[in-house]
This record gives sequence, C-alpha cells and structure tokens, in this order.
Amino acid sequence: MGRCRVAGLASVKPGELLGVEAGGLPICLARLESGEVYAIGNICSHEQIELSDGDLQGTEVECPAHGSRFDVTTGAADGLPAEDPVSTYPVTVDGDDIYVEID
Amino acid sequence: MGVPVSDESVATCPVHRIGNIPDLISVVRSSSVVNSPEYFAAAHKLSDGHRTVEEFVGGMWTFTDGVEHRRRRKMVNQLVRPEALDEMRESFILPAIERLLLDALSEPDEDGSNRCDLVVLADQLFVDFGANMIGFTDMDDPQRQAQLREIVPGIFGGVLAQFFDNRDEVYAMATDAKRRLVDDYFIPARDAYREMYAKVARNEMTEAEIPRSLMKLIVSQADPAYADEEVGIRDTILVFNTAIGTSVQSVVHMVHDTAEWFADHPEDRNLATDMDFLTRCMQETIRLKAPFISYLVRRAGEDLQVGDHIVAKDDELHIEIPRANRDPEIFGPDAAEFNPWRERPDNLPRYGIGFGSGPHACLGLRVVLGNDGQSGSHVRFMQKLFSHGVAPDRDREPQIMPMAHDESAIEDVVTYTSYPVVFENWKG
Repeated sequence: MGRCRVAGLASVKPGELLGVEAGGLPICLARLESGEVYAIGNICSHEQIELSDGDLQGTEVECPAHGSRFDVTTGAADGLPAEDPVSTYPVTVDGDDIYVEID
Repeated sequence: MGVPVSDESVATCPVHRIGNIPDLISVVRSSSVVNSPEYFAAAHKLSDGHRTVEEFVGGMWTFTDGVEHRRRRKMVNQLVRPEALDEMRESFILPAIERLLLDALSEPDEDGSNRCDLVVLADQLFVDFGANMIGFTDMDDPQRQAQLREIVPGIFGGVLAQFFDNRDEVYAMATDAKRRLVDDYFIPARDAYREMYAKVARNEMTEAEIPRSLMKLIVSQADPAYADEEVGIRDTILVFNTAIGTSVQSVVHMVHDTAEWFADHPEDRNLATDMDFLTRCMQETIRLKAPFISYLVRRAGEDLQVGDHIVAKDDELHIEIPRANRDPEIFGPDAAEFNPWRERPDNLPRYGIGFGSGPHACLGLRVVLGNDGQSGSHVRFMQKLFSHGVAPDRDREPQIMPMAHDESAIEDVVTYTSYPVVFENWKG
C-alpha cells in the first residue's frame, strides 16, 4: 500500500487517541504529550474492542473494555488481560498531515 | 452446543446449558444476549427472586449492556490500573497479611502446632481489602472491621439467594446486612468524600489528593448513573461481594489444589514460594473452578443460533464456565485435573475463560494475577502462606456451604465456609 495520509495533525491533540483507517486497516493514532505521533492496530488483541476509545497514559494505551495496556512505541502488550501484541506502523508528520506506512 | 434442561418450573422458559468454550465465547460476546438481573436472580422462576433484583443487583454495572456498560466499565477500570495495583499490594495487602498472620498464629495449640481457619484468615484480609477499594472510612478500628465482616454472609446471600433453598432466612439476614452496610459504612464514607470535595472547592486540597476508590467515583459522579445514589450502593455491593467472596474462595481452593499437588509431586515442594510456579497454580485453580459457582445466567434478547442449536428470544442460558474450562480437546486428556505445568492452549490464556469473556470479563483479573501476570495480590498472599508452610489440617474437616440442587454442579466446585490449615514452618 505504501504511505497513506490518515489525518490532519490538529485532529489528534497531545495526550489523545484517534481511530482511523488506512488501506482498510483499523489504526489507532496516539499523540504523546511530547507531540510525537505513533500508530498501532486499533483492535485489542484480547477482544474485538477499538483501542482508540481508550485512554493514553504516557506511552501506553489502555483498552476501554478490560484495561489491557499496549505500548504505542512497540505494540507490546504491557498489561493483562491481553498477552499478544498489536501491529505497529511507521508514522511521518509532514506539515499538518499525518502519514502511516502500510505494507 | 446448548443442551435444554427438563425442568417443570421453567416449562415456559427453556434453559440452554452452554458448556463448551467456542459456543460460550460466541454467546457472551453476542449483542443478542442480555446480562439480565431478573434472570440472574431467577426472578422469572422464583416468587421471591425480585427481591434480589430490587434490593441488591438491579442497576449494578455488570447488569448493564451496550453503551452504558462500556462507559461504566471504562470508568471502574481505573481502580485496577498498574499504579493502583502496586499501591494496593505494597501499602495494604502485604502489611495486612503480616498483621493477620501474627494475630491468628500468636499462640500454638496444645500439641505445639500453629493452626487457623484459612476461610476466616482470607475473609479478614479481603474484607479489609474490599473496604479499602470501596473507600470505607475509619477502617483502622478493629471493631468496625469485625462488624463489617459480620455482614459479609448476609450480602452474599442477598445477591445469590437463588442458589439457596432456605430463602426466607437468607433474605432476612440479607436485608439486615444491607441496612448495616449502608448506614454504618456507605453513608459515612460518602459524607467523608463529600467533605473532601468541599475542601477541593475551597482550594484546601486537590482532587488528586482524594484517595482513589469506588466512593471517589460515586461521589464525584464520574458516571451519570451515580446521580441515583442507589446505583452507587449497588456497585458498592458488587465490589464488596466479589472482592471478598470470590477472592476468599480463590485462595482457599488454590491452597487446597496446590497442597494436593505437592503431596503427589514432592519434587515441586521447593517451588512453594516461587512466584512463577504459584501464578501457574492460581491460573489452574481459576481454570478449574472460577467463578466458584457452576454457571452464570444470560437471557436471549432475540432468537439466535448457538452451535447447531436454536435459542429462542427470552430463553435462559446457563454459562457453565468451570465445565467449559475442562474440555480435553483444548486442555488435554487430563483437563479435569490440576496441573500447574499444563501448556498454554492455542488462542487462550492458561486460565481459559476463568475470568469470563466478552464485555463482562472480570474486573479483578489484574488484582489476582497482577498487571504483568506475575505479581498479583492474591498470589503474593499465597506466597506468604507457603513461606510459612501452610498445609491442610488433616485433623479437622473443611466445611462446605449447602446449596440448592444444581444440574450444572461439578463435584469440586464448592464454597468453603471453613478450611482448617496448619503452618508447618511458622517462625512468628
């Protein structure tokens, strides 16, 4: 698929999450308080829940349903009940636009 | 596949027993299936079942579905975040264990053995723990601790009256217990938290300084449902009942199962305080026995297919978690036996669906096992007990709560009311 524009930078504020799609894939954008933007798969590996409805705390997303935690920088599951990671996608910010690299 | 149960009293409401994992997961995840307080309390079958709904469980977050459930569950998840778990374990659970063990074992018996009743010991720990999680105040007072422990059986009975034959007696005790819970604990805590929020309004303290607890969420109306105080009381009953009742049974069963394992596998005794091994033991006990009753109940909100079986709207579904978790095709030929070295099955955790599945999966999972799966409060409690050589007291029989006849019952899924233990390495 290559590089896809998924959102404007202004649409995801520092400390917030945004659910988007790229090439049919559900993606959760996470903008850290420091301003960096990361992209991970938006569906919790524990249950079919959208992570973008959860909370961002530091570099971790907390799933809104059962509280599973994922590190947005690596996709690793850092808190039960999830035990498996979610995908990560390279992000570039070009001006006011957020791009995600999809295989 | 669901299996209808023949039962004259439910002739107008067929019951489908769901006792295998694939069907069970599809049912509890289905938006066509309702977590109904009326069905949980058997209010559609028992003339007095409405009392459980009206006085104890109606309005609890577990008996909401869809958007409301998701909103309220997200709110209470903050009670079990990693920092909350660490604080609970290090500041509360571990010091409390030391204190309770010292109190319970201060004097050896005439034969020199250090004995106690593990149900009583665990009850003391988890009543204090539940009170802390809810936010009850003045709980350093031993008299208030003891009085709170007295009302545990009544609250348990009010929520689970449908499982008893002597329901008049159970409800009488439950009504008194709820009155005492509300008047002596809920209202003083509510007023104390209101005063803290008044101080926040006067800039005398910050909201972050108010202790994290369910009461903080209730008083701050973190969810709009808490505008109705009775909803807050029902959620208090839920946390009280699960933090205590389920926790006590999980640790007692785990000691029982692990002691049996050591008797048959003495080569593993040197792992009695190893957190990885004990976590495996807890996961096995949870797999075999949680939620420590034989089934949960759901209502079909509309016609649906379960496996090759049709379930009609308003039919009753019995979610047989302990039975499903003993499937030899998933957990191996010895699936019904306790084996801490069991391999993790494909696509399931070691504990199977012992903490449930779908939106209503258990909030307490991370309390029991830890956020990282290795540092749970309950497992640390076990580690402390085994470090002192806890073992079943072979001179005294455990006591089991008598329950009503249950088609789904499994012989070893019981509720212990007494479990005598001896500490073989107690050093005070």
